[in-house]
Amino acid sequence: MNETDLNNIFRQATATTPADQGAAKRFLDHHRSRRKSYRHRLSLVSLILASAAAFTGTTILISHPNALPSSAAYDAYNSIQGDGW
Amino acid sequence: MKHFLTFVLLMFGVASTKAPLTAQEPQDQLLSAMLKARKHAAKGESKITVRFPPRKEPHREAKTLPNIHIRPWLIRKNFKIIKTNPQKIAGRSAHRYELTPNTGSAPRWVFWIDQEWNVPLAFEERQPDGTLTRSARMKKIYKLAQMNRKVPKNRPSLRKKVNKALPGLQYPQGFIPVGLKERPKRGQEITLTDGINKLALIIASKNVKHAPGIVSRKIEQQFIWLVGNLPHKDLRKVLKSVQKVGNIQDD
Repeated sequence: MNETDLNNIFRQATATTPADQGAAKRFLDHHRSRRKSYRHRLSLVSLILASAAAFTGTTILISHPNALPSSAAYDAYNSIQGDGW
Repeated sequence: MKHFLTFVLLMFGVASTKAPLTAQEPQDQLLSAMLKARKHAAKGESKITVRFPPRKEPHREAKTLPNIHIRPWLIRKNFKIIKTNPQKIAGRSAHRYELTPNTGSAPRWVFWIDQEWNVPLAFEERQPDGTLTRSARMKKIYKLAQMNRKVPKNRPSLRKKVNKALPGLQYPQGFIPVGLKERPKRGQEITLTDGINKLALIIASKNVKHAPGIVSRKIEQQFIWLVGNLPHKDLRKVLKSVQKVGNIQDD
């Protein structure tokens, strides 16, 4: 086998065939689909977390609009416990 | 004859002072000491601990024990009192009494009563699971001192007035209203007790932030708060029973 034969073998090995192109396309499609799905899941989780935070905040605000501090209740409780505590 | 009469009178005198003490039930013994504590107290150095309501610094020192407002007839009705083995408190012999509520989840108490002076030397309040809520204990005792402590008034007609202003209200087991005062900025504070434990039921124009031992509810334009050392489910049950909130008409 001379140098020309070897070059031909290398050329054939490195040349892109329709089968290679198909495999690459399938890989890229799958990869893009996974990334898209991951981004979708990430945005869904962020949305759920943001909604939960907003709900908790709103609930606290609604349940205690202008609420007095808990010390107001404890002061009233302490005042009836007798002297010296 | 003269000697015989003297002997009889002497024996009668001894019997009248000694016999009732030995024949007394534990609850009578404890309550007599609690009543005496309104006028007398052991003086020296005491350590006071309060875990509820939460404080930045739960411990402090004082010269005497705090004054606990009790209602003897309610204690008789709501608590089982047993006397256990004597113990030493600050070097003095003390009877030990345990107060356990007959029903419900109210805190229980232990009192140590000086055997000679018949006044408290220590007491503590614990939740049903044994968690300490508050305690006071003499560390050093110098003398028995005379005191002029506040005595709670009885308000027999208060329950009727509270029930009228707060229709539907169901008190926690054993508790009744015994005190009422106006709040500085509108509203009223009602004291509920089972004889020794107390709850504050407050009618206010504003809500209060919830925390351990605090529940509240809005009824029409008013808020009612209930504060005390009971499980939240019991506190909430009380507020849930209230149908309407009005002003308590006091004399």
